[in-house]
Amino acid sequence: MLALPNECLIEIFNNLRTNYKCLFSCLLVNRHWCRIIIPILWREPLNHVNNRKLISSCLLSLNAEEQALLIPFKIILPNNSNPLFEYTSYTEFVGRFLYNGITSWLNEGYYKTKIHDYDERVSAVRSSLIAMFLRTSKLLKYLKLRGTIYYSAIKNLRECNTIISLKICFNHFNSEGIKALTEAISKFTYLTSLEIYDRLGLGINNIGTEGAKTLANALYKNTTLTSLCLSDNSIDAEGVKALAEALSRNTTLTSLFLDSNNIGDEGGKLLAKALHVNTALNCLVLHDANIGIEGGKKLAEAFHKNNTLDSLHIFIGNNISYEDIGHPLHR
Amino acid sequence: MDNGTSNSASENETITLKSCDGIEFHIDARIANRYTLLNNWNGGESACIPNVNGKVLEKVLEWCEHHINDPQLNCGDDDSRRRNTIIEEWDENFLSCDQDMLFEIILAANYLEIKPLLDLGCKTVANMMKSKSPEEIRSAFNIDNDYTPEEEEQFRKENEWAEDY
Repeated sequence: MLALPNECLIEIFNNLRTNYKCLFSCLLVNRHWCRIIIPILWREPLNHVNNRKLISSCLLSLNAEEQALLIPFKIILPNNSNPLFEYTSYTEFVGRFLYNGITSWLNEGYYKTKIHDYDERVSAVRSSLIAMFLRTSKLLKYLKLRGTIYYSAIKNLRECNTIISLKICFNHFNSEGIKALTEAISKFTYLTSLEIYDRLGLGINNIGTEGAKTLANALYKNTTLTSLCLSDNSIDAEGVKALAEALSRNTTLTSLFLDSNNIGDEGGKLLAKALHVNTALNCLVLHDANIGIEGGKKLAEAFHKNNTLDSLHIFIGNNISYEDIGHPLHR
Repeated sequence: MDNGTSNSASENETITLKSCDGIEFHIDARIANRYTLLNNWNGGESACIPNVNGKVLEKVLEWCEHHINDPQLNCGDDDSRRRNTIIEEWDENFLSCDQDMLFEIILAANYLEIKPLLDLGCKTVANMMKSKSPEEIRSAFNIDNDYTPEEEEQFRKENEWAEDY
């Protein structure tokens, strides 16, 4: 074979980047191809591949501290020698199939029957893997934290400054965890999308007023974040006040979801005031936020003064009817 | 060019390029305008393009001429380039040459920074690998296996998740 430079080989294999079967064949061709393919193969399998074998391979990268999380449950790890590469150092996407994969790994290989501490086992495996990814992935861009994850597992989150999209749902972080989490997020300099939510309304995330204040503080000067979702987080008027103040300075955020928080009339008025000066926001969602007629009218008034806001969502689950306002709140 | 709609002022201008083995080509100046690097060797008398021989340069220029009226792609737009995995019939025929020539074209396109031709060549090679076993790929491209059996087995095991997708 005529020798092609690495840049051409990378180009060739990038064409196959989601054809995992073909990349697998190519990586077994020889050592040189292997070195070029591993970073492509491991870039985002957790976005495409739902497979317990993938979880097995990821578990090979756990260090002693991460393995220790599994000891109380006597979870048996795949017994391989050290992996030939630190595969997960190339991973840019952690989420989606990580969680399904963990369940099938636990079910199929090792724990066939329902056992009393099944959920705890899932949490332990999840926490060990998240801790490992946060430690090893040098290029992490998309991270989703779903379900119960130990606070100790996310202590390296602050080092992951490459993250551009972060989703957190159904966690049970305590106030110390929330503090560490929101402080870590505040330091991220490439983050464009942040979602901390609980769509099932279980009231589980709860970054609360303190968490909202920390994030608001960061939002004040932030110039990368374009989408922020803090649905159902027990944020009250005091938290909204901090966010509204940040909104009156911020010039990059284009969509904000604060639905299912206890914003109230007072919070509504504060947000309305911010909308008089904000020139970036396109979409503001305030469903189910305990806003009354008074707050609603102030918001509607601000909507008409503001030229950039395209849609303001307040008619569902608040004490405001369309008749109270008399005109639509979208352009 | 048979395309009556081409509207460049330099339509009848030609430039001269010389391959590394001394063969001269007189080409439409608009080609050189599209691929800036070609412009560097305009004026063939003294300068010639190193590393690209006449046979390969002829193919490359044939491709450029056929695509002279293609819309220019935004170079930074990696995604839009990659999303388009379909290869036009003309291009497919053009690249169904022998393997050495295909690789020579890729090398020349890379060297001369003719990005769309480079993409096309790489896509063609990628398609040749689809649905083949490692052994079939080795024999198709005449590559030696330098793994130890143990090493190959371990790589297979650590990445076997990819086998079914």
